[in-house]
Amino acid sequence: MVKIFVSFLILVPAVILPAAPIVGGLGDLKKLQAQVQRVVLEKTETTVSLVSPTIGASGSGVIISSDGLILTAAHVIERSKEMTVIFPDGRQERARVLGANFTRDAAMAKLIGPGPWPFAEVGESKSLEAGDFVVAMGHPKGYDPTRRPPVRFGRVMKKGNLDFVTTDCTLIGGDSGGPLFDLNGRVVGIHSHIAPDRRVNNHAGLSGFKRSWDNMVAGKLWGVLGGDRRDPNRPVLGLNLRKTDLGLVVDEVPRSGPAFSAGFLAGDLVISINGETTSEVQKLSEIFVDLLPGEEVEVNYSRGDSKLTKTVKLARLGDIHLNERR
Amino acid sequence: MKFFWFLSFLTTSSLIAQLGLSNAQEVTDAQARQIFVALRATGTSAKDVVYPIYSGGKRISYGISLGGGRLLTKASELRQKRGLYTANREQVALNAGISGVYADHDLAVLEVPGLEAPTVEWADAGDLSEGAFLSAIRPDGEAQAMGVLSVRERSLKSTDQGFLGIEMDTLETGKGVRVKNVVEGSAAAEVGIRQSDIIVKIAGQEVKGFYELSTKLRRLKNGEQPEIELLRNEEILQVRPTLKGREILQGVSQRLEKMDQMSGGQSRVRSGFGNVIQSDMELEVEDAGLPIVDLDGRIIGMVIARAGRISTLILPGDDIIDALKNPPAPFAREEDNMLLDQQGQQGIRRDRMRRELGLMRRMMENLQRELERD
Repeated sequence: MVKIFVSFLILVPAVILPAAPIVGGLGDLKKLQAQVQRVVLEKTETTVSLVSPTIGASGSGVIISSDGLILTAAHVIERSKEMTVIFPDGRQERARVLGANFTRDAAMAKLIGPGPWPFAEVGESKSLEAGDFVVAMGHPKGYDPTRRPPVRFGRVMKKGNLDFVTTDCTLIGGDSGGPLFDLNGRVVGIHSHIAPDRRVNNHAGLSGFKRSWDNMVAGKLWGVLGGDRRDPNRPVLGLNLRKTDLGLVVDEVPRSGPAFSAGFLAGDLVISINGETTSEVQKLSEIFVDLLPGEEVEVNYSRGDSKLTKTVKLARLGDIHLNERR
Repeated sequence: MKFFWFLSFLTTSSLIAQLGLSNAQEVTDAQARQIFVALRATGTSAKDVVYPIYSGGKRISYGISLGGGRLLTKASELRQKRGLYTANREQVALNAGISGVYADHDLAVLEVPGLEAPTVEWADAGDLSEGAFLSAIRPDGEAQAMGVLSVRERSLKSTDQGFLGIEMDTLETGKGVRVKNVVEGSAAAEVGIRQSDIIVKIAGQEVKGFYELSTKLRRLKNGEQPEIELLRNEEILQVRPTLKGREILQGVSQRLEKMDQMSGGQSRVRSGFGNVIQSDMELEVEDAGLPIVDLDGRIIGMVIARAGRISTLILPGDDIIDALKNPPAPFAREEDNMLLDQQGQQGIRRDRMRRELGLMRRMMENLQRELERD
């Protein structure tokens, strides 16, 4: 009897809590309004405008640590080394551009100066679901001294590949790089791009940012906006894989690739890379989005009855001759 | 056993619910319905004062009842429109005539003989802060759209902003801003500011660069006299110019204009207002004139323009009360004297040119056809 009761208690919350938050009446809307207003009050000053003094590129950004780390979009910084940072009150400072992963449209910069700076904590985009309420801020159409960053309120509409999140918080040029907050004021996305439909506003999810974090902090610039499978600088193992009922099977191992030197053979079954199970080719390519050539990955695979592990140093796609058999 | 049965019932029903709502669109649609049902409680006073305005069988805007058979609406949407009418709650069409306009606010007052409607009661919007929930209420009491207060009341009239009359060097030196050029006859020229002077302080505060100085200047009003400290040949000078109104129009890039255009219609007159609230609520051009309420159901203003993808502009009730204290100007259908700013004028001129081009094209096509017939 006791056992049944316990499982009942655990199951009930899971059953009665639906995916999307419920708005039961005006009281719920008032609570929601209070949450949105608190996010605005506490986080507006972390939402900065970024302008490149040399190439004129501009957009928004958000400060996420008291020592002045800024998250923004890769297409905002382009190839700038330094950005002018304009705070909502008009104060101007300078920031050094760190790294960027263009495939995720993710970039980092760091304020020059000791701080402490006003900042917002970072959250996760993984846990977001359709219907979750969010607040967007930024500097649409560039910095405007007559107003503070305009507030946009909306919901998660859907989640896409590479941790991108779509919301109905309307965005326009200049907002790029600005923050998407959850109702606790945590940064869960960075504004990236829009479609003509006003309900399609896309943000680079913070969970994706986190996977590229160390390489961005280290000042690496890589990837291609919109993603390009043919990018010659893309990191590769040098394995041609084919999806089968068993999983991903090695079809071909080009001689000039690192997998060949590591001893991979056609017919090997790849189980996981860096601990992430790989059953879909798409999932596999998402692992490589955060890596650069020269980095090492751990590949778990099976050959016949034996399970094997190898560490492989990734190569540039451009350095491998894929069609050498021809 | 009872528990088991109950449990299995719950899990299956939740499974069914989850399967049914597995699609993200269904989840967000269902949630939107909940929000709009909840908003009904806020529209009770607004729904009684709002009326649709039609021309040629098409709704062109809404109007808010001022009592005595008068409706307040957006003026520029009435241009080129003949045969205006509204419909009362019994769905009887009532003719509307334009009794006058308030050009500065782009407002028009319509006379509707026979319309019996209560008088709107405007509430103060001044205490609403960013993030406040706002909705636009239709005659049926439903919200046409819901959004938040994005930007508090401010002037979009560039001539309200202080204008010193210098071109600034955007190069960052860390201290002060170099004057690249001085506009003739400007406030700067009047006090003898020269090219290559370095402005180091304004109103007692140091400026590090272009953005700090231009922010401080544009937050000052036309007629203000800030103290400015200059560095000229390593000598410190103090001047106190009397700022003039800003006449220079901010250019909008074609890329941004395209983003606004692809995202739906925009009101022809959508800038230059003396005091407006900006909201992110998604409306159409023909939703101008809808009353805006907060979550307490107070009517805090009227939709005055759809101004692009992220922006709907709202005229605060207080400003409407102030404007209506004066008698309206006569409505001049064919003249541009009711227009707010150059942007609006250019927009209308462009629209007119486009229409005329269309007419010419049709004439050419007709000529072509007639020639081919011969």
